[in-house]
Amino acid sequence: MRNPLLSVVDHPFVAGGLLTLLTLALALPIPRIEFDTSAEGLMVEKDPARRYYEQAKERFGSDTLTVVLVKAGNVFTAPALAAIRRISDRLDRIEGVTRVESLTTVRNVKGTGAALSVEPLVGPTIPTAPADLERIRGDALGSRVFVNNIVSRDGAAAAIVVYTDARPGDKQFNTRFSDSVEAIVAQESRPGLSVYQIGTPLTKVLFGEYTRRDLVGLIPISLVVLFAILFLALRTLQGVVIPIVTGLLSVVWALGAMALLGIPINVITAIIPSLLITIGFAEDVHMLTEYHHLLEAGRDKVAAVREMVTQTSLPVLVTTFTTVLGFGSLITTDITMLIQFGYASALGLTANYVVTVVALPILLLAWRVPGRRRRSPTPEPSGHDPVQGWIERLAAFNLRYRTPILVVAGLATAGSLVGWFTLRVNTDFVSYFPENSVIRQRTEDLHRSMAGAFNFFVVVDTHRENGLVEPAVLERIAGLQRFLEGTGEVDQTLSIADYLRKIHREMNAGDEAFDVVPATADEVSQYLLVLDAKETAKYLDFNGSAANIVVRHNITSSSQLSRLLKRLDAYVADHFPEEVKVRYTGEGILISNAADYMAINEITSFSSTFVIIGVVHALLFMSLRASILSLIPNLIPVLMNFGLMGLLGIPLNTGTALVATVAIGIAVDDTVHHMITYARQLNIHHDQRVAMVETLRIEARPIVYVSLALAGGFLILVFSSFVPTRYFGALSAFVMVVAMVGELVLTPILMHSTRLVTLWDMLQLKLKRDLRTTVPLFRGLSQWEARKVVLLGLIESFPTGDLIIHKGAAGTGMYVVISGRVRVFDSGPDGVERTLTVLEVGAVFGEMALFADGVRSAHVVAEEPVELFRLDFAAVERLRKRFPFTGAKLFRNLAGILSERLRERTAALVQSRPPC
Amino acid sequence: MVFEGIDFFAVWLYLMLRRWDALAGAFVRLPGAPVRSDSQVITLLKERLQPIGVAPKSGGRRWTAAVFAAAVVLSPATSEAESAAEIMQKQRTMHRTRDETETLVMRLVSKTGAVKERRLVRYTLTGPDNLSKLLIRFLAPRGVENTGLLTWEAPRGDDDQWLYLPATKKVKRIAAGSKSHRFMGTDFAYADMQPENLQTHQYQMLGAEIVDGHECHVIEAVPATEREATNSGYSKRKLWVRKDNYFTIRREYYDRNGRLEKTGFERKLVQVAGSAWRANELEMHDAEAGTRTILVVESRSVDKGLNESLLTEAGLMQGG
Repeated sequence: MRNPLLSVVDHPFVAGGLLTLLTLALALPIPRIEFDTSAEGLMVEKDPARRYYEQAKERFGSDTLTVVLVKAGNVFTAPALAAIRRISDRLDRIEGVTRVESLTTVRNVKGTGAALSVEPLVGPTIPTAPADLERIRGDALGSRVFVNNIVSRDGAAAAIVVYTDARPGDKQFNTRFSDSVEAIVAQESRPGLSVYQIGTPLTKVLFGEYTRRDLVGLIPISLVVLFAILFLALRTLQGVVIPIVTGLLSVVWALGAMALLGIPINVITAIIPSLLITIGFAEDVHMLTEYHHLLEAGRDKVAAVREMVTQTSLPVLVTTFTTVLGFGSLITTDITMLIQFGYASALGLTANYVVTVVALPILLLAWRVPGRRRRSPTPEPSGHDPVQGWIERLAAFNLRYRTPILVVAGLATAGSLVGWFTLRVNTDFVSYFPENSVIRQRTEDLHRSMAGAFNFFVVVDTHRENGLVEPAVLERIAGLQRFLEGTGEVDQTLSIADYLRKIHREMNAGDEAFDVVPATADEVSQYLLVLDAKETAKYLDFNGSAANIVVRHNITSSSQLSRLLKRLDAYVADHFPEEVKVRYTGEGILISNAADYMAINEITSFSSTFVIIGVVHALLFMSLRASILSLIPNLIPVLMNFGLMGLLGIPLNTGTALVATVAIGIAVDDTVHHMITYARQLNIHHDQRVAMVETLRIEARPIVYVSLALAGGFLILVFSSFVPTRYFGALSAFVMVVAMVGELVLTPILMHSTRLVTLWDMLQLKLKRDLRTTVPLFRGLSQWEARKVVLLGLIESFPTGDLIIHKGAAGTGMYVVISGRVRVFDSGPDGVERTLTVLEVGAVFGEMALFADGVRSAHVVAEEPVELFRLDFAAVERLRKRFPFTGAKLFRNLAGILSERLRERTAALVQSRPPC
Repeated sequence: MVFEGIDFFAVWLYLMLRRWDALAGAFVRLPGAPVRSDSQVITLLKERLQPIGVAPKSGGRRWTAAVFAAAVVLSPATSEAESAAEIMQKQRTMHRTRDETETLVMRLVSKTGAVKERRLVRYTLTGPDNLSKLLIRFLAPRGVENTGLLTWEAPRGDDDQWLYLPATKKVKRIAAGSKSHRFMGTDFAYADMQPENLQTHQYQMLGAEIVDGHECHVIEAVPATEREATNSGYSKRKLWVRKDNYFTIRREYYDRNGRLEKTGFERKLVQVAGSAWRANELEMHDAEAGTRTILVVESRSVDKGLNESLLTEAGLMQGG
């Protein structure tokens, strides 16, 4: 069957034209591509916890908060309060803001003996008299509802807490909002008054910005490093330019496809351009190396291109297919961002394949043959090439120290498994940012001054109207708050109980003894009448059936948060009755869960990737064993990677978990090339050792170049703005190097123990029905049985005049003539050569040594170029043991052949004998 | 010349109707200009008003006359020429009763449409000095039964208010600055529960509009004193006062920043005694929060005599 890709070579202008058109068509939509800075894509789709979260927001308002922190020596001065008022008013006017809480917006319940005031803490006119300011200060700092919520304990900092609720699907909200806030902050900042904003919207926006920065900054550097190494390796300009061109074209296609399909660039899909260039160029290197070899072997440009296409189309197709399947398996996860990444990477890799197999041959045809690669007039004496010598030594080393190498590999892997026990899944979004970044500094500062910028809700639901009016329930809530605050891990909790305690105290003229939950339900009901419903709406729902405790904290680590929540669960189980349901929720919790879930998902999808690749390889090599052997040298680096992570305390999170998938996708491709080349070499040379050396000679360079270039490219990510990206880069580089070593050492050893025939060769073997009818040895065998037999043997070719069997030599196998003719002859005691017989297609010879003492009885020479199928006696034994039925058929056929031969010989003898 | 609070149409109208007092009232004294009293302003305006030279054709004069006539026809209240302050005063006088007792059902409607219901009784007593005393007492639900609010209107300055929470067995005076606080979880502020205080507000006529099929004066009420401005929480209010019975059927409340905060409606008007009208349905709608409070009068008795001791601190605690 003619390789369809050859059409590209035959009609380069048409193909080139189509390619250009498609590229332009896909480049057009690229400006439309979205940048997604929301975290919506991170949450698990159809997660029931998400629905509960939405309901809680309906009841109690949004939990998305931004804090604008105002720091002055003392915020209780007229200018500072005026600034706070101005900021509060302007913030309130921003679209999407549901609530603003600050010193100038809250009401203060205050009681003297006879009077009760529910005045605003700061009246409409900001006082200037010191006495008034002192009074406000005293009121503010004396209330637990205000301290650490909107003012710091020392009165040096005030927080304006802004709750926002973006319309779902409004992906630009965070950017618009934080920009508006930034404008307000800029206007109010002045010497003596420091103002800044910190909160989830800003964090997400900065996340997006850093991502963009990485995208724009790191990729060019990676490319430069990558191609510098390539140039050193291939030493031709085309070896650098062509991969760049194919890489960039496939990035354009991928981005265009993403824009068309509405897949946004988020923190994960941002690595796709890097990924495509990285994975893509590996194939370019293999193809270019093959091309250069063919040029050196004497082919002209066009012939070299054609043959290169023919030779490389199978491995490139297989490796692309497995990589696409591998990344594409992420589509089956539940998390939107991963699904998007799965689609984008699968599409991108497919695009890369198309671009490579079309553009690369065209470019080669258009390019002048590089001088270096032209066939030199005098052939190079082999053995004087230093690289060849090195490879020979490597092969010898591999063969000699087979067992020790396997043992060492096993030990290293086992050793690294120790690290697995300390491996933790943990996502800490804030620590994604480096320590000196704005986000980290502000988060710390806010946490130190007051209460952290993060929060979650604890909803206490009695499911009864006015159930919360019961003092018993309120006591439990207060107890829960004390517990949480006692853990030391939260900064502040606030609930309706706090408001009730405040008013109870004030109704008793501010007597501290009354800073407790009121004793009767009626008191609670009546106090609730007096409190400002708007302010308490965050803490008590409309019909009094559920209360909300808002917990402010500084926990950014997902594992720390889930530990705290588990303790909360335990406390609740002990202290709350069955009828009262206590549940926590919040965007932070959802994202934290999703992040951990995502990391685990990536690992499981990696496992399924592994299985998929295994299945594809099994089909390719028609052997489960070969497939497993292909996976081992690639699994080991991944295992060692996780072990290393555990030992070094690097957490498994959304970034680092991708290492496994990416590494496998790339590393395994080298193995496929390696094994396919080995299979080919086995067919040409009948010696496994020679085949190994030849394979290494061909593949060692691409393997080393690609691995080193990739490792270099990944190492560049160490300069990313994001901590996990840095880890991703370092770990991936590590995996590349280990995989390279495994490829050069382990894979040859493992392949040595098996015969590899690829499916392709099988199909090329013309094993059609007629062979089974024309070759008596295969008579009665089914297609599969015939193939099994063929797998156990070798196809060998001999030119005219070659001696196939030497009389007297030790015979180790039997032959079947597939094409051509052989002549069996003997030289008698008189030294005269006498032809015994001429054998044609289907004939069997050499079988007698199987049954006799193993010494060859005659010479066999090729009369014309022949293709012979050779079956080792050891293989026959294996066949007999493993497939007895097939073996039985084989032996039956052999018996038939032998008896036929006997009959012929007898007839010939009788005929040649004189009559007696 | 700068006028505040009236638009071009109103200026033209006043000019046509020779409403010099209204124009003088809206006239803005710019900084640096000589200080003028209202009558001086009126003189100034008359000086400045020049008839445009009309073509000496009789047709032109006839047109001008026709326009004036039309203007006269179109503005029905020309002969009465009331100021906003006059209207508010008339309102107070017209709808005054000696005493009233009402039972009401209060419905609090949340943003999502959930409803909380309360029942209350309201006593109003207006003394010979025209100052009112109000007592509101909750009847249901059980938890808030007998919670009460007592208000004594003061001649100028703040009204006195007392709050009684039966469960605490205490009566507390509500401090003046708390007037802007929402009353009992409703959308009505304490200030909204008090009668219109003509002394502490300035009223401006904005024009006329038709609301629910009734012609209304549109009057703007702005705090006239520092204290009122501080305590009320509203930078201004707009009142729609029916021209026929001087009853305010719609109110808009604007917060400190000048944004519309709430809208109040009074519906199902009935004539209860003499010239006095009352609304049987009141609604306050908080545009921002999306909540609304609806008060429906179940029963009412007017001028049947009310014991004054009921509207005292002692009376407040009674029944608790």
